[in-house]
Amino acid sequence: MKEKRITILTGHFGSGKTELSIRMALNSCQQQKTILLDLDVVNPFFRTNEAKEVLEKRGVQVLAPRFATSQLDIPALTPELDGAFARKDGHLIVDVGGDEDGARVLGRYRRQILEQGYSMWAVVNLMRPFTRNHQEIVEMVREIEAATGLVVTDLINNTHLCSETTVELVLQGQRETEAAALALGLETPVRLAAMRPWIPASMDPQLVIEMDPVLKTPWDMESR
Amino acid sequence: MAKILMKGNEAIAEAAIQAGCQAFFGYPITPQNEIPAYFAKKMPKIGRTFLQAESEVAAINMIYGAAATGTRVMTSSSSPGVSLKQEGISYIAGSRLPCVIVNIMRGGPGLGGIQPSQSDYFQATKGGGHGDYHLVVFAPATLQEMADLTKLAFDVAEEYRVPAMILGDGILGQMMEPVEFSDYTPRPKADMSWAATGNDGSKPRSVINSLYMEPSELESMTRDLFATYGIIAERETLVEEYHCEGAEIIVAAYGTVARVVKSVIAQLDKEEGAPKVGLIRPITLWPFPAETFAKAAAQDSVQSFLTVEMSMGQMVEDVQLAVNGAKPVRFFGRTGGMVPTAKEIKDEILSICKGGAR
Repeated sequence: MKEKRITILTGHFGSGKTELSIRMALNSCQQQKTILLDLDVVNPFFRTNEAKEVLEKRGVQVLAPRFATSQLDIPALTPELDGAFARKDGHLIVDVGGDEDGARVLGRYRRQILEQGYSMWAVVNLMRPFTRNHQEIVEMVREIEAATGLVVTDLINNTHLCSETTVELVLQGQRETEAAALALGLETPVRLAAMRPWIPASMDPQLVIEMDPVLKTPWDMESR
Repeated sequence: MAKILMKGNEAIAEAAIQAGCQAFFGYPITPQNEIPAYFAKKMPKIGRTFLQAESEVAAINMIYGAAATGTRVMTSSSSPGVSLKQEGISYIAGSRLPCVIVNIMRGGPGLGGIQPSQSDYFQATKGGGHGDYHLVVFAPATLQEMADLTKLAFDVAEEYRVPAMILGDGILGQMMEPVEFSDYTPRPKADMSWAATGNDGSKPRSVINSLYMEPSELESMTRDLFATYGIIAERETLVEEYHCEGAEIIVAAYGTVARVVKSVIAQLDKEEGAPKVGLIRPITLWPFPAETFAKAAAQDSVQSFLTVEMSMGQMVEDVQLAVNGAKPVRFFGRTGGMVPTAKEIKDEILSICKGGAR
Protein backbone atom coordinates (compact mmCIF):
# COMPACT_ATOMS: atom_id res chain seq x y z
CA MET A 1 0.00 0.00 0.00
CA LYS A 2 1.55 3.29 -1.08
CA GLU A 3 0.97 5.93 1.58
CA LYS A 4 -0.55 9.20 0.40
CA ARG A 5 0.85 12.46 1.78
CA ILE A 6 -2.40 13.34 3.52
CA THR A 7 -4.27 10.96 5.82
CA ILE A 8 -7.62 12.25 7.04
CA LEU A 9 -9.34 10.66 10.03
CA THR A 10 -13.11 10.96 10.22
CA GLY A 11 -15.92 9.15 12.01
CA HIS A 12 -18.70 9.59 14.51
CA PHE A 13 -17.62 11.59 17.56
CA GLY A 14 -16.21 9.34 20.23
CA SER A 15 -15.17 6.71 17.67
CA GLY A 16 -11.50 7.14 18.61
CA LYS A 17 -10.23 9.44 15.85
CA THR A 18 -8.13 11.56 18.16
CA GLU A 19 -6.37 8.69 19.94
CA LEU A 20 -5.75 6.99 16.60
CA SER A 21 -4.36 10.16 15.01
CA ILE A 22 -1.98 10.61 17.95
CA ARG A 23 -0.84 6.98 17.67
CA MET A 24 -0.38 7.30 13.89
CA ALA A 25 1.65 10.48 14.32
CA LEU A 26 3.88 8.83 16.93
CA ASN A 27 4.42 5.87 14.57
CA SER A 28 4.86 7.97 11.44
CA CYS A 29 7.39 10.40 12.95
CA GLN A 30 9.93 7.59 13.24
CA GLN A 31 10.11 7.38 9.43
CA GLN A 32 9.39 10.89 8.19
CA LYS A 33 8.55 14.46 9.05
CA THR A 34 5.02 14.40 10.42
CA ILE A 35 2.44 17.10 10.96
CA LEU A 36 -0.67 16.42 13.05
CA LEU A 37 -3.46 18.82 12.26
CA ASP A 38 -6.27 18.95 14.81
CA LEU A 39 -9.23 20.25 12.79
CA ASP A 40 -11.81 19.35 15.41
CA VAL A 41 -14.12 22.35 15.55
CA VAL A 42 -16.85 20.36 17.32
CA ASN A 43 -15.47 19.17 20.61
CA PRO A 44 -13.43 21.28 23.02
CA PHE A 45 -12.65 18.42 25.44
CA PHE A 46 -10.23 15.47 25.30
CA ARG A 47 -8.49 16.49 22.09
CA THR A 48 -5.15 16.25 20.33
CA ASN A 49 -3.87 19.52 21.69
CA GLU A 50 -3.75 17.96 25.16
CA ALA A 51 -1.14 15.49 23.91
CA LYS A 52 0.84 18.28 22.25
CA GLU A 53 3.75 18.10 24.68
CA VAL A 54 4.24 14.35 24.17
CA LEU A 55 3.98 14.71 20.41
CA GLU A 56 6.31 17.68 20.08
CA LYS A 57 8.96 15.98 22.18
CA ARG A 58 8.98 13.22 19.56
CA GLY A 59 9.30 15.72 16.71
CA VAL A 60 5.69 15.83 15.53
CA GLN A 61 4.50 19.28 14.54
CA VAL A 62 1.05 19.88 16.06
CA LEU A 63 -1.27 22.45 14.53
CA ALA A 64 -4.76 23.35 15.72
CA PRO A 65 -7.35 26.03 15.04
CA ARG A 66 -6.73 29.14 17.11
CA PHE A 67 -8.71 29.16 20.39
CA ALA A 68 -8.80 25.36 20.46
CA THR A 69 -8.83 24.29 24.12
CA SER A 70 -8.79 27.92 25.19
CA GLN A 71 -11.76 29.47 26.94
CA LEU A 72 -13.47 30.40 23.68
CA ASP A 73 -15.49 27.77 21.90
CA ILE A 74 -15.34 29.48 18.51
CA PRO A 75 -12.31 28.01 16.74
CA ALA A 76 -10.81 30.02 13.88
CA LEU A 77 -8.87 28.43 10.99
CA THR A 78 -5.61 30.36 10.64
CA PRO A 79 -3.29 30.84 7.60
CA GLU A 80 -0.87 28.50 9.39
CA LEU A 81 -3.31 25.68 8.73
CA ASP A 82 -3.52 26.62 5.03
CA GLY A 83 0.26 26.29 4.96
CA ALA A 84 0.14 22.72 6.22
CA PHE A 85 -1.98 21.76 3.23
CA ALA A 86 0.02 23.84 0.73
CA ARG A 87 3.46 22.32 1.46
CA LYS A 88 4.53 19.20 -0.40
CA ASP A 89 6.75 17.38 2.11
CA GLY A 90 6.10 15.29 5.20
CA HIS A 91 3.14 13.18 6.26
CA LEU A 92 0.08 15.25 7.12
CA ILE A 93 -2.38 13.57 9.49
CA VAL A 94 -5.68 15.41 9.85
CA ASP A 95 -7.92 14.75 12.86
CA VAL A 96 -11.40 15.91 11.92
CA GLY A 97 -14.35 16.65 14.22
CA GLY A 98 -17.16 14.20 14.76
CA ASP A 99 -19.89 13.37 12.24
CA GLU A 100 -20.69 15.15 9.02
CA ASP A 101 -20.81 18.46 10.91
CA GLY A 102 -17.19 18.19 11.97
CA ALA A 103 -16.11 16.88 8.58
CA ARG A 104 -17.65 19.84 6.75
CA VAL A 105 -14.65 22.01 7.63
CA LEU A 106 -12.57 19.91 5.20
CA GLY A 107 -14.47 21.50 2.34
CA ARG A 108 -12.30 24.59 2.70
CA TYR A 109 -9.14 22.55 1.94
CA ARG A 110 -10.72 20.28 -0.67
CA ARG A 111 -8.74 21.63 -3.65
CA GLN A 112 -5.31 21.15 -2.01
CA ILE A 113 -6.34 17.74 -0.69
CA LEU A 114 -7.39 16.56 -4.17
CA GLU A 115 -4.21 17.95 -5.76
CA GLN A 116 -1.88 16.21 -3.33
CA GLY A 117 -3.68 12.89 -3.00
CA TYR A 118 -5.21 11.60 0.20
CA SER A 119 -6.47 8.65 2.13
CA MET A 120 -9.61 9.28 4.15
CA TRP A 121 -10.13 6.85 7.01
CA ALA A 122 -13.44 6.43 8.76
CA VAL A 123 -12.99 5.14 12.30
CA VAL A 124 -15.66 2.81 13.66
CA ASN A 125 -16.41 1.65 17.18
CA LEU A 126 -19.30 -0.77 16.99
CA MET A 127 -20.04 -0.14 20.67
CA ARG A 128 -20.93 3.50 19.98
CA PRO A 129 -24.45 4.70 19.22
CA PHE A 130 -25.16 5.31 15.51
CA THR A 131 -22.57 2.73 14.30
CA ARG A 132 -24.11 -0.38 15.86
CA ASN A 133 -24.13 -2.46 12.66
CA HIS A 134 -22.85 -2.42 9.08
CA GLN A 135 -25.92 -0.57 7.74
CA GLU A 136 -25.37 2.30 10.20
CA ILE A 137 -21.64 2.37 9.36
CA VAL A 138 -22.46 2.74 5.66
CA GLU A 139 -24.93 5.52 6.49
CA MET A 140 -22.28 7.39 8.50
CA VAL A 141 -19.74 7.09 5.68
CA ARG A 142 -22.24 8.42 3.12
CA GLU A 143 -23.03 11.43 5.35
CA ILE A 144 -19.33 12.26 5.77
CA GLU A 145 -18.70 11.94 2.04
CA ALA A 146 -21.64 14.20 1.25
CA ALA A 147 -20.42 16.87 3.70
CA THR A 148 -16.78 16.86 2.55
CA GLY A 149 -16.99 16.15 -1.16
CA LEU A 150 -14.21 13.59 -0.54
CA VAL A 151 -14.30 9.82 -0.64
CA VAL A 152 -13.70 7.49 2.31
CA THR A 153 -10.91 5.12 1.21
CA ASP A 154 -10.41 3.01 4.35
CA LEU A 155 -12.44 1.77 7.28
CA ILE A 156 -10.74 1.26 10.63
CA ASN A 157 -12.25 -1.01 13.24
CA ASN A 158 -11.66 0.57 16.64
CA THR A 159 -14.31 -1.41 18.50
CA HIS A 160 -13.79 -1.36 22.26
CA LEU A 161 -15.64 -0.94 25.55
CA CYS A 162 -12.80 0.62 27.57
CA SER A 163 -11.58 -1.82 30.23
CA GLU A 164 -14.51 -4.15 29.48
CA THR A 165 -13.33 -4.92 25.94
CA THR A 166 -13.01 -8.56 24.86
CA VAL A 167 -11.39 -10.17 21.83
CA GLU A 168 -14.87 -11.39 20.82
CA LEU A 169 -16.18 -7.79 20.75
CA VAL A 170 -13.22 -6.72 18.62
CA LEU A 171 -13.92 -9.57 16.18
CA GLN A 172 -17.60 -8.68 16.07
CA GLY A 173 -16.57 -5.11 15.19
CA GLN A 174 -14.20 -6.44 12.54
CA ARG A 175 -16.96 -8.51 10.91
CA GLU A 176 -19.48 -5.64 10.80
CA THR A 177 -16.88 -3.15 9.55
CA GLU A 178 -15.80 -5.60 6.83
CA ALA A 179 -19.45 -6.03 5.82
CA ALA A 180 -19.72 -2.23 5.55
CA ALA A 181 -16.49 -2.05 3.49
CA LEU A 182 -17.90 -4.66 1.13
CA ALA A 183 -21.17 -2.75 0.77
CA LEU A 184 -19.21 0.44 0.04
CA GLY A 185 -17.03 -1.36 -2.50
CA LEU A 186 -13.77 -0.36 -0.76
CA GLU A 187 -10.60 -1.86 -2.21
CA THR A 188 -8.44 -1.65 0.91
CA PRO A 189 -8.84 -4.25 3.68
CA VAL A 190 -10.29 -3.11 7.01
CA ARG A 191 -7.58 -2.25 9.51
CA LEU A 192 -7.81 -2.83 13.24
CA ALA A 193 -6.82 -0.35 15.94
CA ALA A 194 -6.75 -2.05 19.34
CA MET A 195 -4.77 -2.37 22.56
CA ARG A 196 -2.46 -5.37 22.74
CA PRO A 197 -4.53 -7.67 25.02
CA TRP A 198 -7.49 -7.48 22.65
CA ILE A 199 -5.78 -8.00 19.28
CA PRO A 200 -7.16 -11.28 17.87
CA ALA A 201 -4.45 -13.81 16.96
CA SER A 202 -6.16 -14.29 13.60
CA MET A 203 -5.54 -10.68 12.50
CA ASP A 204 -2.91 -9.99 9.82
CA PRO A 205 -0.28 -7.97 11.77
CA GLN A 206 0.14 -5.74 8.70
CA LEU A 207 -3.39 -4.46 9.27
CA VAL A 208 -3.07 -3.84 13.02
CA ILE A 209 -2.32 -0.52 14.70
CA GLU A 210 -1.50 -1.15 18.32
CA MET A 211 -3.06 1.44 20.61
CA ASP A 212 -1.78 2.85 23.90
CA PRO A 213 -4.07 5.70 24.99
CA VAL A 214 -2.47 9.08 25.69
CA LEU A 215 -5.53 11.12 26.74
CA LYS A 216 -6.68 10.43 30.29
CA THR A 217 -9.33 11.45 32.82
CA PRO A 218 -8.19 13.41 35.90
CA TRP A 219 -8.52 10.37 38.14
CA ASP A 220 -6.38 8.26 35.82
CA MET A 221 -3.56 10.75 35.99
CA GLU A 222 -1.80 9.81 39.19
CA SER A 223 0.17 12.63 40.79
CA ARG A 224 -0.10 14.68 37.65
CA MET B 1 -29.17 -5.61 26.93
CA ALA B 2 -25.43 -5.43 26.37
CA LYS B 3 -23.37 -2.44 27.38
CA ILE B 4 -22.74 0.38 24.96
CA LEU B 5 -19.96 2.97 24.97
CA MET B 6 -21.48 6.37 25.67
CA LYS B 7 -20.48 9.94 26.26
CA GLY B 8 -22.04 11.25 29.47
CA ASN B 9 -24.26 13.65 27.57
CA GLU B 10 -25.45 10.88 25.26
CA ALA B 11 -26.15 8.62 28.25
CA ILE B 12 -28.50 11.26 29.69
CA ALA B 13 -30.33 11.67 26.38
CA GLU B 14 -30.66 7.93 25.75
CA ALA B 15 -31.86 7.32 29.32
CA ALA B 16 -34.45 10.09 28.94
CA ILE B 17 -35.73 8.54 25.71
CA GLN B 18 -35.97 5.14 27.40
CA ALA B 19 -37.78 6.75 30.36
CA GLY B 20 -40.47 7.93 27.95
CA CYS B 21 -39.40 11.55 27.49
CA GLN B 22 -41.76 12.76 24.73
CA ALA B 23 -40.25 16.14 24.02
CA PHE B 24 -36.93 17.94 24.39
CA PHE B 25 -36.66 21.71 24.16
CA GLY B 26 -33.26 23.36 24.40
CA TYR B 27 -30.68 25.76 23.10
CA PRO B 28 -27.06 24.80 22.40
CA ILE B 29 -24.17 25.58 24.73
CA THR B 30 -20.83 23.86 25.38
CA PRO B 31 -20.18 21.44 27.11
CA GLN B 32 -23.62 19.79 26.87
CA ASN B 33 -24.24 19.92 23.12
CA GLU B 34 -24.28 16.15 22.67
CA ILE B 35 -27.58 16.10 24.59
CA PRO B 36 -29.58 18.15 22.03
CA ALA B 37 -27.55 16.55 19.20
CA TYR B 38 -28.55 13.07 20.34
CA PHE B 39 -32.21 14.03 20.73
CA ALA B 40 -32.14 15.76 17.34
CA LYS B 41 -30.98 12.54 15.70
CA LYS B 42 -33.24 10.11 17.55
CA MET B 43 -36.51 11.84 18.46
CA PRO B 44 -37.85 12.40 14.91
CA LYS B 45 -37.23 8.72 14.10
CA ILE B 46 -39.50 7.59 16.95
CA GLY B 47 -42.24 10.14 16.44
CA ARG B 48 -41.30 12.35 19.37
CA THR B 49 -40.40 16.04 19.52
CA PHE B 50 -37.00 17.70 19.41
CA LEU B 51 -37.09 21.45 19.17
CA GLN B 52 -34.21 23.91 19.21
CA ALA B 53 -35.80 26.96 20.78
CA GLU B 54 -34.77 30.53 20.00
CA SER B 55 -33.30 30.91 23.50
CA GLU B 56 -33.01 29.21 26.87
CA VAL B 57 -35.91 31.33 28.12
CA ALA B 58 -38.11 30.08 25.30
CA ALA B 59 -37.03 26.48 25.91
CA ILE B 60 -37.91 26.49 29.62
CA ASN B 61 -41.32 28.01 28.88
CA MET B 62 -41.97 25.31 26.29
CA ILE B 63 -41.13 22.84 29.06
CA TYR B 64 -43.59 24.67 31.34
CA GLY B 65 -46.36 24.33 28.78
CA ALA B 66 -45.65 20.73 27.82
CA ALA B 67 -45.23 19.63 31.46
CA ALA B 68 -48.68 21.11 32.21
CA THR B 69 -50.17 18.40 29.99
CA GLY B 70 -48.51 15.67 32.06
CA THR B 71 -46.04 14.87 29.28
CA ARG B 72 -42.53 13.74 30.20
CA VAL B 73 -40.20 16.54 29.07
CA MET B 74 -36.56 17.53 29.41
CA THR B 75 -34.39 20.55 28.81
CA SER B 76 -30.64 20.82 29.19
CA SER B 77 -28.07 23.57 29.28
CA SER B 78 -24.85 24.65 30.94
CA SER B 79 -24.32 27.25 33.65
CA PRO B 80 -25.03 30.59 31.87
CA GLY B 81 -27.98 29.01 30.06
CA VAL B 82 -29.37 27.58 33.29
CA SER B 83 -29.25 31.08 34.82
CA LEU B 84 -31.47 32.24 31.96
CA LYS B 85 -33.97 29.47 32.71
CA GLN B 86 -34.45 30.38 36.38
CA GLU B 87 -37.67 32.37 36.01
CA GLY B 88 -39.32 29.48 34.20
CA ILE B 89 -38.04 26.96 36.73
CA SER B 90 -39.58 28.98 39.55
CA TYR B 91 -42.94 29.06 37.71
CA ILE B 92 -42.74 25.30 37.11
CA ALA B 93 -42.04 24.67 40.80
CA GLY B 94 -44.86 27.06 41.80
CA SER B 95 -47.27 25.30 39.44
CA ARG B 96 -46.35 21.88 40.85
CA LEU B 97 -45.17 20.47 37.51
CA PRO B 98 -42.76 17.59 36.97
CA CYS B 99 -39.90 17.91 34.48
CA VAL B 100 -36.18 17.18 34.27
CA ILE B 101 -33.61 19.95 33.82
CA VAL B 102 -29.97 19.09 33.08
CA ASN B 103 -27.09 21.40 33.99
CA ILE B 104 -23.67 20.29 32.72
CA MET B 105 -21.73 22.90 34.65
CA ARG B 106 -18.93 25.07 33.26
CA GLY B 107 -16.92 27.84 34.88
CA GLY B 108 -18.62 31.08 35.95
CA PRO B 109 -19.62 33.75 36.89
CA GLY B 110 -20.76 35.46 33.71
CA LEU B 111 -19.96 33.68 30.48
CA GLY B 112 -17.09 32.11 32.42
CA GLY B 113 -15.45 29.34 30.46
CA ILE B 114 -16.24 26.02 28.88
CA GLN B 115 -14.19 23.79 31.16
CA PRO B 116 -15.77 21.73 33.98
CA SER B 117 -16.93 23.31 37.21
CA GLN B 118 -19.19 22.79 40.23
CA SER B 119 -19.87 26.41 40.98
CA ASP B 120 -23.63 26.21 40.42
CA TYR B 121 -24.22 24.21 43.61
CA PHE B 122 -25.88 27.14 45.38
CA GLN B 123 -28.04 27.90 42.34
CA ALA B 124 -29.16 24.28 42.04
CA THR B 125 -29.77 23.48 45.71
CA LYS B 126 -30.81 26.79 47.27
CA GLY B 127 -33.46 27.86 44.81
CA GLY B 128 -31.99 29.61 41.81
CA GLY B 129 -35.16 31.48 40.95
CA HIS B 130 -37.42 33.46 43.29
CA GLY B 131 -39.72 32.11 45.94
CA ASP B 132 -39.86 29.25 48.41
CA TYR B 133 -39.01 26.12 46.44
CA HIS B 134 -36.47 23.37 45.85
CA LEU B 135 -35.41 21.18 42.99
CA VAL B 136 -34.54 17.56 43.64
CA VAL B 137 -30.90 17.61 42.55
CA PHE B 138 -29.10 14.46 41.43
CA ALA B 139 -25.29 14.50 41.14
CA PRO B 140 -24.01 11.50 39.14
CA ALA B 141 -20.33 10.54 39.33
CA THR B 142 -20.26 7.82 36.67
CA LEU B 143 -21.89 7.48 33.28
CA GLN B 144 -23.92 4.54 34.58
CA GLU B 145 -25.32 6.91 37.21
CA MET B 146 -25.98 9.56 34.58
CA ALA B 147 -28.26 7.05 32.86
CA ASP B 148 -29.87 5.57 35.99
CA LEU B 149 -30.37 8.89 37.79
CA THR B 150 -31.93 10.44 34.68
CA LYS B 151 -34.56 7.70 34.70
CA LEU B 152 -35.02 8.09 38.45
CA ALA B 153 -35.33 11.88 38.07
CA PHE B 154 -38.35 11.46 35.77
CA ASP B 155 -40.01 9.04 38.22
CA VAL B 156 -39.34 11.21 41.29
CA ALA B 157 -40.45 14.39 39.50
CA GLU B 158 -43.80 12.82 38.59
CA GLU B 159 -44.36 11.08 41.92
CA TYR B 160 -44.06 14.35 43.88
CA ARG B 161 -44.98 16.84 41.11
CA VAL B 162 -41.69 18.73 41.40
CA PRO B 163 -38.98 19.66 38.90
CA ALA B 164 -35.79 17.59 39.20
CA MET B 165 -32.28 18.46 38.09
CA ILE B 166 -29.34 16.39 36.88
CA LEU B 167 -26.23 18.33 37.92
CA GLY B 168 -23.10 17.19 36.09
CA ASP B 169 -19.99 18.92 34.83
CA GLY B 170 -18.05 19.18 31.59
CA ILE B 171 -15.92 16.13 32.29
CA LEU B 172 -18.88 13.86 33.03
CA GLY B 173 -20.68 15.22 29.99
CA GLN B 174 -17.77 14.66 27.62
CA MET B 175 -16.03 11.53 28.88
CA MET B 176 -16.84 8.01 27.72
CA GLU B 177 -17.66 4.85 29.66
CA PRO B 178 -19.62 1.66 29.03
CA VAL B 179 -23.24 2.00 30.13
CA GLU B 180 -25.86 -0.68 30.78
CA PHE B 181 -29.35 0.66 30.08
CA SER B 182 -31.47 -2.17 31.43
CA ASP B 183 -30.41 -1.89 35.09
CA TYR B 184 -33.15 0.52 36.15
CA THR B 185 -36.59 -0.65 37.31
CA PRO B 186 -39.21 2.05 36.66
CA ARG B 187 -41.57 3.03 39.50
CA PRO B 188 -45.33 2.56 39.18
CA LYS B 189 -46.94 5.29 37.10
CA ALA B 190 -47.90 8.28 39.25
CA ASP B 191 -51.40 9.79 39.38
CA MET B 192 -51.52 12.29 36.51
CA SER B 193 -55.16 13.35 36.87
CA TRP B 194 -54.04 16.94 37.54
CA ALA B 195 -52.76 17.32 33.97
CA ALA B 196 -54.44 19.80 31.62
CA THR B 197 -55.22 17.62 28.63
CA GLY B 198 -58.50 19.09 27.42
CA ASN B 199 -61.94 18.89 28.98
CA ASP B 200 -65.30 17.84 27.58
CA GLY B 201 -67.19 19.03 30.67
CA SER B 202 -67.40 15.57 32.23
CA LYS B 203 -64.81 16.35 34.94
CA PRO B 204 -63.60 19.39 36.86
CA ARG B 205 -61.19 21.62 34.95
CA SER B 206 -57.45 21.13 35.53
CA VAL B 207 -55.89 24.53 36.17
CA ILE B 208 -52.12 24.95 36.08
CA ASN B 209 -51.23 28.14 37.87
CA SER B 210 -48.65 29.78 40.11
CA LEU B 211 -50.53 33.02 40.79
CA TYR B 212 -52.35 33.40 44.13
CA MET B 213 -53.81 36.85 44.92
CA GLU B 214 -54.87 35.72 48.38
CA PRO B 215 -51.81 35.57 50.67
CA SER B 216 -53.34 32.89 52.91
CA GLU B 217 -53.93 30.75 49.84
CA LEU B 218 -50.31 31.15 48.67
CA GLU B 219 -49.07 30.36 52.17
CA SER B 220 -51.15 27.22 52.31
CA MET B 221 -50.01 26.13 48.82
CA THR B 222 -46.38 26.71 49.87
CA ARG B 223 -46.87 24.78 53.12
CA ASP B 224 -48.23 21.86 51.09
CA LEU B 225 -45.19 22.08 48.85
CA PHE B 226 -42.85 22.00 51.83
CA ALA B 227 -44.72 19.07 53.36
CA THR B 228 -43.93 17.26 50.11
CA TYR B 229 -40.29 18.33 50.37
CA GLY B 230 -40.24 16.79 53.86
CA ILE B 231 -41.42 13.45 52.43
CA ILE B 232 -38.87 13.68 49.61
CA ALA B 233 -36.08 14.32 52.14
CA GLU B 234 -37.19 11.30 54.11
CA ARG B 235 -37.51 8.90 51.18
CA GLU B 236 -35.31 10.05 48.35
CA THR B 237 -31.99 11.09 49.88
CA LEU B 238 -29.13 9.22 48.24
CA VAL B 239 -25.53 9.03 49.44
CA GLU B 240 -22.50 6.81 49.07
CA GLU B 241 -20.21 6.14 52.03
CA TYR B 242 -16.82 4.88 50.89
CA HIS B 243 -14.13 3.57 53.28
CA CYS B 244 -15.69 5.56 56.13
CA GLU B 245 -15.37 2.95 58.87
CA GLY B 246 -12.58 3.89 61.26
CA ALA B 247 -11.56 6.83 59.05
CA GLU B 248 -9.60 9.72 60.58
CA ILE B 249 -10.51 12.14 57.85
CA ILE B 250 -13.77 12.17 55.93
CA VAL B 251 -13.67 13.86 52.54
CA ALA B 252 -16.94 15.26 51.21
CA ALA B 253 -17.12 15.45 47.43
CA TYR B 254 -19.61 14.81 44.64
CA GLY B 255 -19.50 14.13 40.90
CA THR B 256 -16.14 14.28 39.12
CA VAL B 257 -14.27 15.37 42.25
CA ALA B 258 -15.50 12.29 44.16
CA ARG B 259 -13.81 10.13 41.52
CA VAL B 260 -10.50 11.93 41.96
CA VAL B 261 -10.89 11.49 45.75
CA LYS B 262 -11.46 7.74 45.30
CA SER B 263 -8.22 7.47 43.36
CA VAL B 264 -6.47 9.30 46.25
CA ILE B 265 -7.96 6.87 48.77
CA ALA B 266 -6.75 3.95 46.63
CA GLN B 267 -3.23 5.44 46.61
CA LEU B 268 -3.21 6.05 50.37
CA ASP B 269 -4.44 2.51 51.03
CA LYS B 270 -1.24 1.22 49.45
CA GLU B 271 1.05 3.45 51.52
CA GLU B 272 2.29 2.32 54.89
CA GLY B 273 1.50 4.68 57.76
CA ALA B 274 -0.80 6.79 55.60
CA PRO B 275 -3.89 8.25 57.29
CA LYS B 276 -7.16 6.37 56.95
CA VAL B 277 -9.42 8.42 54.73
CA GLY B 278 -13.11 7.96 53.91
CA LEU B 279 -15.42 9.61 51.41
CA ILE B 280 -19.02 10.72 51.82
CA ARG B 281 -20.43 11.33 48.35
CA PRO B 282 -23.85 12.98 48.25
CA ILE B 283 -25.77 11.58 45.25
CA THR B 284 -28.70 13.86 45.91
CA LEU B 285 -27.44 17.37 46.68
CA TRP B 286 -30.98 18.36 47.61
CA PRO B 287 -32.18 16.66 49.74
CA PHE B 288 -28.70 16.80 51.30
CA PRO B 289 -27.61 13.69 53.26
CA ALA B 290 -27.07 15.71 56.44
CA GLU B 291 -27.76 12.75 58.70
CA THR B 292 -24.91 10.73 57.19
CA PHE B 293 -22.51 13.57 57.95
CA ALA B 294 -23.87 14.01 61.48
CA LYS B 295 -23.38 10.31 62.18
CA ALA B 296 -19.84 10.37 60.80
CA ALA B 297 -19.07 13.43 62.95
CA ALA B 298 -20.13 11.47 66.03
CA GLN B 299 -17.61 8.68 65.29
CA ASP B 300 -14.63 8.76 67.68
CA SER B 301 -12.13 7.91 64.95
CA VAL B 302 -13.09 10.92 62.82
CA GLN B 303 -10.79 13.88 63.48
CA SER B 304 -11.95 16.24 60.78
CA PHE B 305 -13.76 16.74 57.47
CA LEU B 306 -12.37 18.04 54.21
CA THR B 307 -14.75 19.24 51.51
CA VAL B 308 -13.31 19.29 47.99
CA GLU B 309 -15.13 21.04 45.18
CA MET B 310 -14.58 22.62 41.80
CA SER B 311 -15.71 25.95 43.25
CA MET B 312 -14.63 28.45 45.88
CA GLY B 313 -16.66 26.55 48.49
CA GLN B 314 -20.41 26.00 48.24
CA MET B 315 -21.35 22.49 49.38
CA VAL B 316 -18.94 23.03 52.29
CA GLU B 317 -21.65 25.18 53.93
CA ASP B 318 -24.07 22.24 53.97
CA VAL B 319 -21.35 20.00 55.37
CA GLN B 320 -20.67 22.55 58.12
CA LEU B 321 -24.38 22.75 58.98
CA ALA B 322 -24.64 18.95 59.11
CA VAL B 323 -21.48 18.49 61.19
CA ASN B 324 -22.72 21.33 63.41
CA GLY B 325 -19.38 22.15 65.00
CA ALA B 326 -18.75 18.60 66.24
CA LYS B 327 -15.50 18.37 64.23
CA PRO B 328 -13.53 20.88 62.14
CA VAL B 329 -14.61 21.17 58.49
CA ARG B 330 -11.92 22.27 56.05
CA PHE B 331 -12.16 23.16 52.39
CA PHE B 332 -10.05 22.73 49.28
CA GLY B 333 -11.20 23.85 45.86
CA ARG B 334 -10.13 24.76 42.36
CA THR B 335 -12.29 26.89 40.14
CA GLY B 336 -12.62 28.49 36.72
CA GLY B 337 -12.48 25.13 34.94
CA MET B 338 -9.52 23.72 36.87
CA VAL B 339 -9.93 20.17 38.19
CA PRO B 340 -8.25 19.36 41.54
CA THR B 341 -5.54 16.76 40.90
CA ALA B 342 -5.08 13.62 42.95
CA LYS B 343 -1.74 15.00 44.14
CA GLU B 344 -3.25 18.28 45.34
CA ILE B 345 -5.97 16.50 47.30
CA LYS B 346 -3.48 14.05 48.78
CA ASP B 347 -1.16 16.87 49.85
CA GLU B 348 -4.10 18.65 51.46
CA ILE B 349 -5.05 15.51 53.41
CA LEU B 350 -1.45 14.96 54.54
CA SER B 351 -1.07 18.57 55.66
CA ILE B 352 -4.23 18.28 57.77
CA CYS B 353 -2.81 15.12 59.38
CA LYS B 354 0.41 16.93 60.27
CA GLY B 355 -1.76 19.31 62.26
CA GLY B 356 -1.60 21.89 59.54
CA ALA B 357 -4.65 23.73 60.79
CA ARG B 358 -5.53 26.72 58.70
